[in-house]
Amino acid sequence: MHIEIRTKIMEHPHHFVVIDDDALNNKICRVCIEKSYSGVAVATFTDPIAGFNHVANAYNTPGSNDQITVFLDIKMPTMDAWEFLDRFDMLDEEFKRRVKIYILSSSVDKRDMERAQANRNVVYYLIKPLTIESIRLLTLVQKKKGN
Amino acid sequence: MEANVSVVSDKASFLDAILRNTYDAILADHSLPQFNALEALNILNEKEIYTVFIIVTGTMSEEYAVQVMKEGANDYILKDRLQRLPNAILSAVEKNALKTERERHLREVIAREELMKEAERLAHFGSFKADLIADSSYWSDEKFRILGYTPGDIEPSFFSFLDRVHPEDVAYVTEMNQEAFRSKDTQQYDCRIIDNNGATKHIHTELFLIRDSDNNIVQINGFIRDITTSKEAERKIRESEEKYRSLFDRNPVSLFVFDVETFRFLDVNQAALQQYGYTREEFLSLKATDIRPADEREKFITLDRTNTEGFSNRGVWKHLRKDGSIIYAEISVNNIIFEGKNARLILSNDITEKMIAENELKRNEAQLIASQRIAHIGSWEVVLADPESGKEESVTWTEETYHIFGVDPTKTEVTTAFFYSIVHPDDHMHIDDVLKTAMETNGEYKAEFRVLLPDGRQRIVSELGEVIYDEHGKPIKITGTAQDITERKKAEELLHKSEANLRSIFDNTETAYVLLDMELRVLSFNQPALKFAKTHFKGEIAERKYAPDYFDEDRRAIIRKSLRSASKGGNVNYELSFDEPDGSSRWYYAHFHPVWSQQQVILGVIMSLRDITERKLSELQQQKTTEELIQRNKDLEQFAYIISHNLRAPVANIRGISEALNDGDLTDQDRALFTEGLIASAKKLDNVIMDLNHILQVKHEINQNKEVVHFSQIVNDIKYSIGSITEIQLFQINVNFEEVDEMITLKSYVHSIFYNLISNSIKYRRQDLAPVIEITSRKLKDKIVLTFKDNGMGVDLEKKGDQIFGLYKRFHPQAAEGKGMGLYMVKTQVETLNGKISVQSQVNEGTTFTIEFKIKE
Repeated sequence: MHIEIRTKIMEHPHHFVVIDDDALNNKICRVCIEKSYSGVAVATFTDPIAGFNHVANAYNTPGSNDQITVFLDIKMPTMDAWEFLDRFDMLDEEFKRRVKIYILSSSVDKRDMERAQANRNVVYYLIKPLTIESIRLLTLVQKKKGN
Repeated sequence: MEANVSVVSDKASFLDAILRNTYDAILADHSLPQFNALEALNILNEKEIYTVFIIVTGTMSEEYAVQVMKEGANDYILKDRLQRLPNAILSAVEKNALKTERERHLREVIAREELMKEAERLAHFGSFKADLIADSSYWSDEKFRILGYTPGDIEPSFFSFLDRVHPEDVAYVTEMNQEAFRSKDTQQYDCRIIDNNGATKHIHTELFLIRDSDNNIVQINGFIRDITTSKEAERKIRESEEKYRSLFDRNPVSLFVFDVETFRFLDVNQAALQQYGYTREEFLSLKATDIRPADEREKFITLDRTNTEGFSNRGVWKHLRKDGSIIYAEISVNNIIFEGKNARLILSNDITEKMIAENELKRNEAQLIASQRIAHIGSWEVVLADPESGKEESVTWTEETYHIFGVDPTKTEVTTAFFYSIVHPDDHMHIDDVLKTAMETNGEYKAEFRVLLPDGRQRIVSELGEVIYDEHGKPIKITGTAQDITERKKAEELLHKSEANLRSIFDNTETAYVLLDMELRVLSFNQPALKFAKTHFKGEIAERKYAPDYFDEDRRAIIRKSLRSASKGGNVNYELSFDEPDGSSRWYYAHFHPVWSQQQVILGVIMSLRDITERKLSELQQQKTTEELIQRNKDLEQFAYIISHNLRAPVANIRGISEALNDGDLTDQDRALFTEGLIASAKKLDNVIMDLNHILQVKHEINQNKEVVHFSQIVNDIKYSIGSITEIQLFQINVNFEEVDEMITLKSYVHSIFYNLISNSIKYRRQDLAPVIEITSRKLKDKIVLTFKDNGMGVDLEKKGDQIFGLYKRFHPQAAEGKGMGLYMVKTQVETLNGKISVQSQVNEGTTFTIEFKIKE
């Protein structure tokens, strides 16, 4: 079962980016991702601005067709998820299709979930913690609008 | 040829012959014995008989011949040459005839000169001549006389003449002469002279100048004529003309003259020009028809053709001014001869203003009649009977007065007796009383009485009268007005009746009722109204007073408007508060509504005021509670949010780590890391729960006891505690609590507020500056204002302003550790103490927090 999923996701060279001001959460994410897919690149950022720049730089890498998956926390001091998404929306459409953004928040507040679902650049809203099981489920999720 | 011949031979016969006859010729021998030719010739000369004298002689010496010829002989013929005689006679006769003729002519000339002199004298016409070559002057006798001299008295000369010229005219005369000398052949001028006898005369002078071939003047002839009489006459004519002109021109009445034939204006005076608005030139270019409006021109022409003698009044006409406006002119016409033409002199009197005034008067009269009818007011006059002079009483009523009293003016002769006959008998005494009082006092009175109408109905009439006195103070007449007030009286009675019915109810309710008439005057009121007035009005409520005046000035307009609206049938209600003497407020529900009669006529207005203070207070309380509930709800929402993020975050981590640990497939390093994370997360979870507990606690602590708090004391306490926990020793707190240093409040809250603000200023200081905090207190009318000003990093309020007081909001995560709770707590505590907090900040310049606490005196 696991192997099947792995091959499916790994059709293209793949990058994972985790952005959360909580370093412990980032560590948990890294462990889960690495356990699910051996050998993938995982970048974690506690500073959302640095995280955004990392994603945006991938666009500037010529000839790359790498898929990028982003796990994004909502409440961060210097730049929250909504501002991140606003900035991201201004990037190239072709590039944006290569980037899948998942909101990963501890919040169970309905308003947060609704707001995230309404954003065209958000694939799905995930409630912390990220687990191997939830990564597995991701592959089963219908691709959202624009993807 | 035929000839009568006489022959004489001596002197005597010669004499006899020549005296008796007239001879054409005398032939004489040169020498006779007792007589000779020379002697005869002498006789003829002596007798002035001029006839042809021819000497016939045999011999004659040459000398003698010359001598006789010289004496007057015409010819001489020697006897041996007698054949020459006939021719000689004829030639001599002819010659003599010429001579005679010349002499006669000369005599005539002499005679005519006399005549001339006489003519000059009669015509006061003197002549003069100046020969410039011979340097001689001649004046005729009359010239002397004109100048007041006897002829020959003085040497005639230009200067002698100039001596007599009127001093004012000397320059003119000199100039006229010089002008003639320079360039003219003739010259004439008039001037005045003062003659030798001192009489002033006007003279006319004419000069004729004779020049030689070199154009030099050789002779001046001329004459002067005394024109004093004609000048005088001329002056008189001119004066009379001027008099006429000035009479015409300056006449205040508009006058103008027009030609009967052409209607063209011939003359016009100033008044007319002003009246019609033209200049003289403009007016004189017009016709008499031009100053009439187009529709009256035909009428004017027709009437103008009707001849009249002397001045005749032609009535009032509409005339047109230059600006097109119409004036009313009263016209009089006279036929005159003007400059030889048949003309009409028109007197035009502008009576426009009079006409307007009259029309106005007529209109006013008409208005008075109309307004009296509308108001049902009639006027009347009673001229009192005077027993002394035997004058009888006379009564005059206007049409409306007849109408009011229900009397037919054509069938009734009004007298005082008649008046009493139609007044209700019970009211006679009342009328007599007021009239008597009026006569004794100021003469004015008012009476209300009933009038019996012919159909048996009654009418209530109100009379206002005034007694008029003569100069001795004796009443001579009474004038006044009468008004039908039946309807009004009925309304009032009805109102009073309904009032009586309602009074018992009124007085037994809690609501204050005031009954007003249509003029919004107080008719009556109940006990609660009296009580209300005592508390909230300046004075006690009284009947007949204008109701809106009871209210404060700023409220009067709306009260008046509401009452008016009610008097027109509207229902008005609203709530209003009055301040009680103790400072509290009482609320009233005011209701203004009309009072209707059974005939659906509005009789008055009721103003009711119900005390709704209790209800209003509970309402206000309810409103406050609602606001509090809304705030509470908002707080709860925020808690939910906090729980969602901050409380779940450590829980999520614990779950995530547990799962990872459970998986077993971990490096030792990771395992150690997660174990540590598990402990930290549990601790974090505990902290958040503690914070929440703390926040919730604040909301209840308000029930704690308040005490006097000294700001300076609190700052000192904080200085110590902060100094002990931060590495930053070099911070400075400047305080100024001179205006106010104490406040009755919750000490723990104030401490917390000060602590959080001060520690924030230190935490978020600028790296290059030692933190300086200035804390100031000010006391205003009803509040204490505290300001906390620092020189720290500042916050971009434009970007984050709305979040600065939010829970778990952090702006400088890298600068210092913080939970984002400090400012949230400060705001919560300030608001719990009924205060307000605001912030101003500039990045890298500093932040200022301003806190306002309401206080009560």
